[in-house]
Amino acid sequence: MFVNKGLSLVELLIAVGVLAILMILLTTIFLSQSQNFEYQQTKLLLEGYFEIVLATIKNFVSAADSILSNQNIQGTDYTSGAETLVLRLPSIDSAKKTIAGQYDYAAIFKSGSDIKIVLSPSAQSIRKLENRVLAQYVSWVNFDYGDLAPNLAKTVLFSMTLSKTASRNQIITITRSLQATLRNKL
Amino acid sequence: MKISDKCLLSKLHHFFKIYRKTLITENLGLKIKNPKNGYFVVIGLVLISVIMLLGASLTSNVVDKTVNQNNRIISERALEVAEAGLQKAIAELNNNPSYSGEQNTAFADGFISISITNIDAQTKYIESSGRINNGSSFIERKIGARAKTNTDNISFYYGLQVGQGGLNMSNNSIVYGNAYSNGSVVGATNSRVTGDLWVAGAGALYLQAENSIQTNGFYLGRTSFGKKIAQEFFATSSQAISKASFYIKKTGAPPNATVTLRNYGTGVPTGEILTQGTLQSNLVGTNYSWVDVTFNNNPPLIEGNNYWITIEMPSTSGSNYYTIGISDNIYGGIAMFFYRSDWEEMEGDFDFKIFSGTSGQTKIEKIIVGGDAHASLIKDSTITGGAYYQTIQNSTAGSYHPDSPDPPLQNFPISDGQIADWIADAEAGGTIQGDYFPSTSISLGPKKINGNFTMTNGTTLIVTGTIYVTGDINFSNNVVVRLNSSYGNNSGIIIADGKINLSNGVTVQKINATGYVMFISKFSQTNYDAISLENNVRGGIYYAPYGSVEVENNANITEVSADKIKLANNTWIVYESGLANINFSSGSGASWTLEKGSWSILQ
Repeated sequence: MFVNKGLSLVELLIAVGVLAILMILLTTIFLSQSQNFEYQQTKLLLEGYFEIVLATIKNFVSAADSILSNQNIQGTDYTSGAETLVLRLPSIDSAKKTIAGQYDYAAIFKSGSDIKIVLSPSAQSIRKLENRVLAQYVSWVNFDYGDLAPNLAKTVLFSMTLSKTASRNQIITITRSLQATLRNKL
Repeated sequence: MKISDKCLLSKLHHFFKIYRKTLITENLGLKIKNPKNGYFVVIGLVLISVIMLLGASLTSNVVDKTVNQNNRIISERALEVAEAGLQKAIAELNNNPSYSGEQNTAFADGFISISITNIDAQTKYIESSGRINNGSSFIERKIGARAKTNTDNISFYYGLQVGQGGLNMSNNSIVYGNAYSNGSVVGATNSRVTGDLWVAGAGALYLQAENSIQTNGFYLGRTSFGKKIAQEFFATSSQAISKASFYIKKTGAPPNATVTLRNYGTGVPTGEILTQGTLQSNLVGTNYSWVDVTFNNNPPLIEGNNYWITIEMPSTSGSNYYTIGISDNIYGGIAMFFYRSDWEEMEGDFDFKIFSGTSGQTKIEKIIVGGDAHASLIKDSTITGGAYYQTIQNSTAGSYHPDSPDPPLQNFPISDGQIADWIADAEAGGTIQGDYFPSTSISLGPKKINGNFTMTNGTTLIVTGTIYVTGDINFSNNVVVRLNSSYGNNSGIIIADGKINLSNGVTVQKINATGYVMFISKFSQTNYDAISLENNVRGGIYYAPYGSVEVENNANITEVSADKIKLANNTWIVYESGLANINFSSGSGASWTLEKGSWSILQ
């Protein structure tokens, strides 16, 4: 006949031990996944910035007809160099066709740990006045014009490094490059 | 273990058993026959549902991102396909200038659609779209750009066009086609022009006024600079105006401009219009040169009176405009430009020349004309069509039109500016120093030869680009000259500073429908012919704006334009209709190219 004797102390201790081990494991997994989540989230953020910056640079360089040595845009002088790219873009009309003799001016440049764009359109252009941050956490940018002076270059090799601390001082550093051609500089 | 401990554990076990039963039955409101079974199923189902929802959400998110990323990649590839379409359009245009596009041509893993619209004779707009299927739909990107031709479109309307040196035709020489001469045309036995023959009536030109000093330039037809200018000048002789000339260059491909002679009127260039002409864009080079403009008619100028000569463009442009030379106020007339809604006076004078002539100085003599004949004096001639004249002597005609106005001067179809541009093209290909005398057949061009260029004995010259010779050109004994096939339907150019002599069976072949070779001599001395075509020379176009061309002994050529022309016995000029529309290419490279600053993403 079954006698309801309950759990022995040993059984209870084993159960508690197993539970403790399980808790430790779960906590470890949780912490690990939490860090991984933060890592992935940070990486995703940086990749998103890259997407914005590289797409912007590709679009602007493709549409430009020349790289300017320097240009005043929205009251500030910008000079093309390793950290600044100054572009002249033929203005575009509502049909997105270029307007002969009308130009918009844009500069893409590193400012502190940001990369920014400023754009000053002509009166007839449908491009909008811009002054905004494209990406944060910028630790390094380089505009490479080959062996040419910027104003003579037809292609630009752009490289950028983004760095951001994820969890527990884990720093994520990503570098990407893009070569873009001035389609309007034939 | 003590008994008391066993009791305690037994009581705890009982308590938990009762408590668990109470929890399940009371808190969940379930009536469970056997409380030990079933509740794990419920918890399991809930957990599985949550996990499935999370999984579905994550999967959906991943699928969305994957599709987005995939579409982004396909979009970039579609853009590249559209780019390929743009290049294809250029290649097609170079094979066939009337190419107008195509739809849904398979290319790589997508489709290209191209549409081309004509802007003007030298400009087209190309739209190219690339479409790629992403599995469920097509992703389309579209780009557009203007294409320009780097060829010079030149129209030879006459088998012969002659300057003021006039035309001499010997026995049995024939021009098959029309002929236009700014000087007299004199023939011999059976000298014939099968088409119409015009002889301008101005005679020798007199320079009425000029400012030929250039210290600066003024934009004409450029955005923000206005599209009209005017220059006052003073007539120094009472003669009929013959032509005006401007020291001018162009940027891009500006449209033709209207040149107007006006009475001085009230001090602004709005006086009565006396005559008009056209400044032809294709005669203006990219460097400064004098470009002539002739007029529809030639009204007389009155000595001592002042007049306006104006140039007006139909529109302004930032990339297609003229620059006319100006100087300090040395000539002493008034120079004005039209800005917004007013004429504004400016410092200095534009670079201009005004020529006049005296009518009744030229004639047609001893010519059999198959069409109409136009001249101040027609003498000893037979005209099948109508005779248009002031005076007619010993001639017969199908119809008679006395008191007809003298034909105006006619410009040559090629300007010094164009020749300068072609020379620059040749120089860009490098220089051969010293006389060049290849003993075998060669392909040559673009190239400058700093000396004489001689070929002989059945060798062949295949022209692969513009050739510029600083000395003389001598081809003889069955030499063959033709363009490289890459010219397509474009024509090519050989230029000499010195004389050009082709003799003894030299053949200048045409490729395709309009792939002509044109020889140009800049030679201007009067003691030698600039171009001499002797003994059975066949084919070719010849141009000597400052010298004479002599065609001798059974030569049979396509077109000649020169200041003075002599056709010897039994020579033929056989005009071809394609000459009215020839595209001269500077080299064998592509003639249609994308215009700088016109590329944009449309979609």
